[in-house]
Amino acid sequence: MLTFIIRRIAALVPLLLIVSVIVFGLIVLVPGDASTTLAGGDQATPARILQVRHQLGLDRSFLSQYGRWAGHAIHLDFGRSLYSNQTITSEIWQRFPITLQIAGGALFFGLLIGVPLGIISGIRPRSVADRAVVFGTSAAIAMPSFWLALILILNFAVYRQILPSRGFVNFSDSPYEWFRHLLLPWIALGVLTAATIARQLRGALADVMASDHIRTSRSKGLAPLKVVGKHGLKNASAPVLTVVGLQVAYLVGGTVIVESIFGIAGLGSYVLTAVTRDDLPAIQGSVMFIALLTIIVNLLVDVSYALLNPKVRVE
Amino acid sequence: MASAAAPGSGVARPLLEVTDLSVAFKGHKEIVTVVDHASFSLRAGETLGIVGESGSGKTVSSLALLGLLPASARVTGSATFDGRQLVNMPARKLRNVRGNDISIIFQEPMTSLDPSFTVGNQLAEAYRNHRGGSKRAATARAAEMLRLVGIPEPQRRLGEYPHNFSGGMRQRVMIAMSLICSPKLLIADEPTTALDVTIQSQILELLKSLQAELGMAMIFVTHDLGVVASVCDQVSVMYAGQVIEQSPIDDFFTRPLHPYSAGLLDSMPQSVAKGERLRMIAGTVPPPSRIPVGCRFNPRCQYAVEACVVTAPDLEATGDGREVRCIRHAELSLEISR
Repeated sequence: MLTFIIRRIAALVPLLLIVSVIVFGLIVLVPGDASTTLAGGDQATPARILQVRHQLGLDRSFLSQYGRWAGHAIHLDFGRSLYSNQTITSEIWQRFPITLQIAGGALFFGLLIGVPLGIISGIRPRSVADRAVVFGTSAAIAMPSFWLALILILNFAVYRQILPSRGFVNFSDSPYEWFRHLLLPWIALGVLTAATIARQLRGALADVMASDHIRTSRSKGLAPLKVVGKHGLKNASAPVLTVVGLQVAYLVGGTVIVESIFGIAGLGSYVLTAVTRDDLPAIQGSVMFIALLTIIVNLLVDVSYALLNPKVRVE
Repeated sequence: MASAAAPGSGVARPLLEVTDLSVAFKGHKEIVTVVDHASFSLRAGETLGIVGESGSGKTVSSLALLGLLPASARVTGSATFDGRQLVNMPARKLRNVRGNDISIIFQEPMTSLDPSFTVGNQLAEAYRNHRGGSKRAATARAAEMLRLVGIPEPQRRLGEYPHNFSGGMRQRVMIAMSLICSPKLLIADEPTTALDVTIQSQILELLKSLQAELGMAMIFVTHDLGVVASVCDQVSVMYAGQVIEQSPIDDFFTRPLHPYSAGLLDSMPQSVAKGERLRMIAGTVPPPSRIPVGCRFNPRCQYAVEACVVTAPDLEATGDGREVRCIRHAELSLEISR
């Protein structure tokens, strides 16, 4: 098991290298940069702009720029923001916990709703309950999260003022207010996750429940709870885990929109601001950070496959 | 086979008495009857073979006894096991019977075990489900059962997963699991069909010796008359959802009562001399939607007369402990010469 994990981690090194080249390269493809703004905007003289470009190293070759950046990035040093002059790493660490609370809560919401729906649907395919779940999840998947967020705000913060429409409160300051502020973002982001998990679990569980070994479990006289809960779910969990892994990437990406709508200063709104201001180091740093996060989550998914499926371990 | 007249013949009440068991499935529009008023019985310690071609309803009948059919199946009739009515028994009560009083093993050993749990876990689970007790006691019992079915190094193998076992070994595990609570009846649904010939005979020998050792009754569902000859005391022949003959094994092989039985025996490879062509029954079993009027076998029967096309025969007792569903059984003499 340990060698399995070590080999998987070793396989990540080339992956990270490729990702970093792409992340860095994308920026080069973007027309324009921040030097004009930093040099004083429209009034800047061409000489001043060139000077700023030189200071930022933007006049060097791509390879030399990348080499310098990657050398620091290995130590999680992505340089300083062109505007706040703080290190990118410290800014990410300030904002990431907030995003983690939004994305984590949305994932929890997704599992809380998606797993029971998937089970109800999967044990009796084509039943009335199943059809209702399939219909409901189709609708949920078709609904964009920004639109859902606006509907939620209208209904719960504007027409009925039950929940706040904007802002964030630290858990340590007031757990109750923390919950009230995050509930709508969680739902706006988590509904799609819930629907995706429910559909995936439905399919996987329906297949497993039709298999020979489930017939064996029933013929042993096991109670339905044990047949479904133990033998059904463990065998149906692998595809669901894959989806959960993919959903983490979606959730972190989704926070960009949700944080802007709900006015929360997390990593998502940080990325958005950086993009609108051409803050190169901030964009590169946060995209690289999100990529790293996604890769780690997928590693965890791989490891849990191995824990669930004895055959994977052998290979 | 030596005990063609089974232990306690005639005196004891049967362990299992199935009367007029019918199974119907709700299709898209129509209702399809797959098993039609099947009746058979068996005494404690005895082995009954249920024989038939694919689609004759033999597997469905055996699954119906344990309530293992999909929810779309409607089961009617009666099946008394040890004084209890199995047909439409409440789910909770039926679970106490499954794996405890009646066990079943299946045709597909490769897929019948859960790939995600160790063999030891699955065996111990079957035991603790009915007998309770500690995990340790159940594991000890599991090891004992693996030894009983001839798996070497049982202690070590308990910790392995099904994919570490070959097909024959998996079927041994299935047998060990089915017998772990010492059931009174084991239903074996084509347990050797998916296995190599050499492994087949090993599994048959194992089942025979276990039956002698543990004294359980067996229902052997098969299409292989060779298997019937080597393990069964009684045989029920099914055709198109009906039982068409029930006979003690020796009588069946020497003097079958139904033309279909005679046809089956005649098409065994052993029935023809070397170099001669194998014989077969012309035609195929009709699907449940196209059951002929009259005797269901009449379109394929070389002895069919006009009456056979008109009247559906009942299963009649012949007086010597045999039953047959053929209006001409008294006049036909279907002796098998070998």
